[in-house]
Amino acid sequence: MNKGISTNARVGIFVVIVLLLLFWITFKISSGTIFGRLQGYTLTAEFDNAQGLNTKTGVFIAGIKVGYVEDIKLEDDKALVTLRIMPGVKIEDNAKAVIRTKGLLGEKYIEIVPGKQQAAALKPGEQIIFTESPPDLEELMNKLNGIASDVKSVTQSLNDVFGGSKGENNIRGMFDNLNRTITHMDRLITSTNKNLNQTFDSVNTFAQALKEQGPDILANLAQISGELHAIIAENKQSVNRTMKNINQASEKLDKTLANLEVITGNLKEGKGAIGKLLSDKKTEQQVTKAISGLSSMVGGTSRFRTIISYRGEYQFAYHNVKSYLDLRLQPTWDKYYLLGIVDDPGGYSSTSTTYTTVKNVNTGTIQQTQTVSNNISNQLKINAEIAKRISYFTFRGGVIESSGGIGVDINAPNDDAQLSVEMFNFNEKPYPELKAMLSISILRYFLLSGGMTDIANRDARTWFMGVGLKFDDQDLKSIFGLAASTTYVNTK
Amino acid sequence: MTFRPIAIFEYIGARFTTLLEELGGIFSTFLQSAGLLFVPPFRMRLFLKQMEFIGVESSFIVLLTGAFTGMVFALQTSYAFRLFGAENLIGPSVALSLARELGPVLTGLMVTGRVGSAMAAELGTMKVTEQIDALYTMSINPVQYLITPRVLSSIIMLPMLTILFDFIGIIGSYFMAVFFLGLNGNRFINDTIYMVDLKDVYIGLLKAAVFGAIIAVVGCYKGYFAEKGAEGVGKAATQAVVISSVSILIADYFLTALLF
Amino acid sequence: MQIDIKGLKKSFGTNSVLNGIDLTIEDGKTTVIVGQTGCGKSVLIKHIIGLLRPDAGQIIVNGADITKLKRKEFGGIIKNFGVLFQNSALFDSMTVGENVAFPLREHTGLSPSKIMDVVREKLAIVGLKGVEQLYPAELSGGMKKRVGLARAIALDPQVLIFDEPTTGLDPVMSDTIDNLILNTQKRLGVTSIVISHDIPGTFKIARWIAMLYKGKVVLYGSPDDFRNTQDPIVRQFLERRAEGPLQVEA
Ligand SMILES: Nc1ncnc2c1ncn2[C@@H]1O[C@H](COP(=O)(O)OP(=O)(O)OP(=O)(O)O)[C@@H](O)[C@H]1O
Ligand SMILES: [Mg+2]
Repeated sequence: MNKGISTNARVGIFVVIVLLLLFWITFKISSGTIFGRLQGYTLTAEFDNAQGLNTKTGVFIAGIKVGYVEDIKLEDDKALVTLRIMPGVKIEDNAKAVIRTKGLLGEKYIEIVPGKQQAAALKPGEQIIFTESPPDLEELMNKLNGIASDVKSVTQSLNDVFGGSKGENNIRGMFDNLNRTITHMDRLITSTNKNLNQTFDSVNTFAQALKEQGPDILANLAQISGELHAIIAENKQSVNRTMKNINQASEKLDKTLANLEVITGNLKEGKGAIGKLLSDKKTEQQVTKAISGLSSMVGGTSRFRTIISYRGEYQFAYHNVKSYLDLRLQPTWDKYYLLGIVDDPGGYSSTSTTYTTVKNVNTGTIQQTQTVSNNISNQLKINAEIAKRISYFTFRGGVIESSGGIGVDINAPNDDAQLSVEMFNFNEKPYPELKAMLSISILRYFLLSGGMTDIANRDARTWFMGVGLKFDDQDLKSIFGLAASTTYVNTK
Repeated sequence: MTFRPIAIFEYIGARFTTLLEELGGIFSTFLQSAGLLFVPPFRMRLFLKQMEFIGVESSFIVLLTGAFTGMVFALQTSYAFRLFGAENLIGPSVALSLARELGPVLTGLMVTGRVGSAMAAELGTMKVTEQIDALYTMSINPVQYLITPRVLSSIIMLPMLTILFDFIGIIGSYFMAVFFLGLNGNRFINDTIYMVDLKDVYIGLLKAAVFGAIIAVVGCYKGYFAEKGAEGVGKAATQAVVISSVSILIADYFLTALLF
Repeated sequence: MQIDIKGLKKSFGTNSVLNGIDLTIEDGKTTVIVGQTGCGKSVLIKHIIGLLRPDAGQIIVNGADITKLKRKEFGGIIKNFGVLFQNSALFDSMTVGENVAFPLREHTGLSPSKIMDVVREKLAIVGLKGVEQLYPAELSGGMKKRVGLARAIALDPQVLIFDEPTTGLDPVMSDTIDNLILNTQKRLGVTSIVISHDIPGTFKIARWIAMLYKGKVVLYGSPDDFRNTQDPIVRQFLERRAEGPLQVEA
């Protein structure tokens, strides 16, 4: 009928081939089962949230598949998951079952984090007591928004500039310079003012006296001119010194700026920094550091964070709003640098003293009275601080509101509330400015603060209340939608 | 002639009756042929011949369609999955689609075109040239002689062809994914195996068996009751293909709803 | 095997074909049915072999009304019949040899070689040789008819039903077939029902002749009865005239 091969043979060959294929497919798919008969043993685990789990979802130990989810049931408002574990795989009774996310689409799997080796192995049917459910959606979003390559490079260069001991020295030096300069300037300006004021006041007095007491002018002239002379003589010295000081100050300022420029130059270039980083012997170390910083983005403790905050404080005594804009660079959890600008409506207080010389007509004596008036005007101030955290306490110091200052913060365990006390501006008022503040962060982005400032100076102190906003780099990225992919490395 | 609104209903009623008759005829043909399977004589030769015709001789067209379906499917899904960076889902989605739907349905449709029409034409010709009558006068039950082997062979062969289709389809998608889309082959296979359940494959094969029954029963029924010569035979063949194809798609819907 | 047909009626839609046929087929003899084309001869014998069910009437074979029989029961009777269809009805998926061997394979336990012998013998009877491997499509009309005949007689049935066995054959071959029918009847005493348009052949082979007209038997008798009848319809038919009471329906 058929040339060569008979119908029987053709059908036979066809059937054999197809059945072999079916056998093969069955065998391949059912690896772990032998023709439907289940192998291995089952364990259970209770999760708060089994969202994304399915039967067939894999169970892994150290990235190796050791089983799969066989069944998911609701029990007492929790998800009771039955796991089928391959024969020969031991799971200790203190092991932990963690629901993790694989890939980008959020495909879930269960990872068994092994317990101590000497612990007893779980017997079939027993329950894995320790479990961890997947993070909630917001956290997941942050994770997804986590690490774009740009962040990585920024982090690397920032780490390079600020993170190393050299970078730290740079910054410390810069702040020192800045601090000194500002203190100098402050002092200089204050003293110069004082002198000039006195000068002009004296001239003023003289002129008044001249006008009022024309007849007696000549009589007093000698005395007056003597005084005037003295004033001028004194001022001459002072002006000379001032000029010198200004010179010095500007020199220092120059140096500071130059330093700053070098740093920002490094920062801006990045390329150089990365190039240096790549050629550096410590590259590996630093990359590891950077990556581990990135990897612990979710609730991690050692990532490099950048926090921007804005705070407005209403001062009840002055009916003013004092504004703070701070940039906080935090290379490790226990250390940060803070740079900020303070807009203080009552920041510039100048004291002018008016000397009035009055000649008592009756007695013929000349009386000199002195009036002191405070002028207050708007001023921009600078914050630049270094902070070190030890357990719940953060100690910081540096430039606070354009003057040297120190502070200490006491943090609530979860960092949501903070009590801080700071002291600065040591040389202007009778007592240094002392500020105590309680701030609470609400809804992650918002700050609420209140306290008293300038406590020590009886007539200057005021209560204040403040509100503010706070973002870290993560938040900014998620807000501006910069994020893309995550290379999520587990540190634990 | 005046327009009678009732005429619409008469028409619908008539069509509905015809449809029921047709369905009844198809179903009783199936029952008869199935029942006669267990009545001697058992003609192995006829089964083998039909298996050869339905299975062996359809394998080429099934392999061809399967390979291209797998390749095209891999290519198309890759566009979508690339958007999410989820290329690892290409293999599983191709394999699942093949095992659950495309394998059985496309095999069914291909075999309908090739075999269903041929059965209708062959039996139709036998009918109009009195060959079926001749069988009858030789005291041979034509249903048992002609229809039973076709239906049984079709029921057996469709799942087999579907296995071929699934297999070659997955090979095709693997080929596409690894050599054109640059995916990792091992990963592709592991993901596929990981996601595909034996149940998916077996239910697909069960579907195929049902489609096999549909193809053969409809083809035979249409041929067996063909009338009016060559034209009737042609009509029977066409109707067999149309009815089988539609029935396969409808049956697929219900089977999917029922079995998965 | 005597076959009694009583009051058989059959119509297809409005076309009333058989109008009450009463006819007895004598056991062991040859009955030839004649009549105009389209008068219902083929329809009649399809009732006898159970392919059609009458609207009314009976067909009694061996004392049983076969029109009331179930298929299964009828199968036992039809086994004794050898049927030649008007269009041969050869299985065109089989070779000539397989066609003739078919009833043998289905109903006898003969060995394939024995079957081949029988096939060759039967084909030789109808004057065919060396055509076993050909397919029906490769045969002429006359050859098909003879293969059909060979298949019909393959099982040596007790009843032979031939629908126009000689139509389309040359006179010599027609006579050969007529002799075949005569001989088998004489040799084996088979009952034959033959439909024919060949008048000389009919007179040669028939013991009884029945003529159908308008769904009824107009004349049933021996060949001599037919030769001597004065019935104008029968006369016109036998004398092969277009003019007369028989009209060709347009
Ligand atoms: N299956 C059928 N369906 C409908 N009408 C039929 C059928 N079979 C036969 N007929 C009608 O019955 C009538 C008789 O047909 P039949 O085949 O018996 O004629 P016939 O006497 O054998 O003619 P011929 O000598 O040409 O073979 C015809 O009018 C035909 O149209
Ligand atoms: Mg006829």
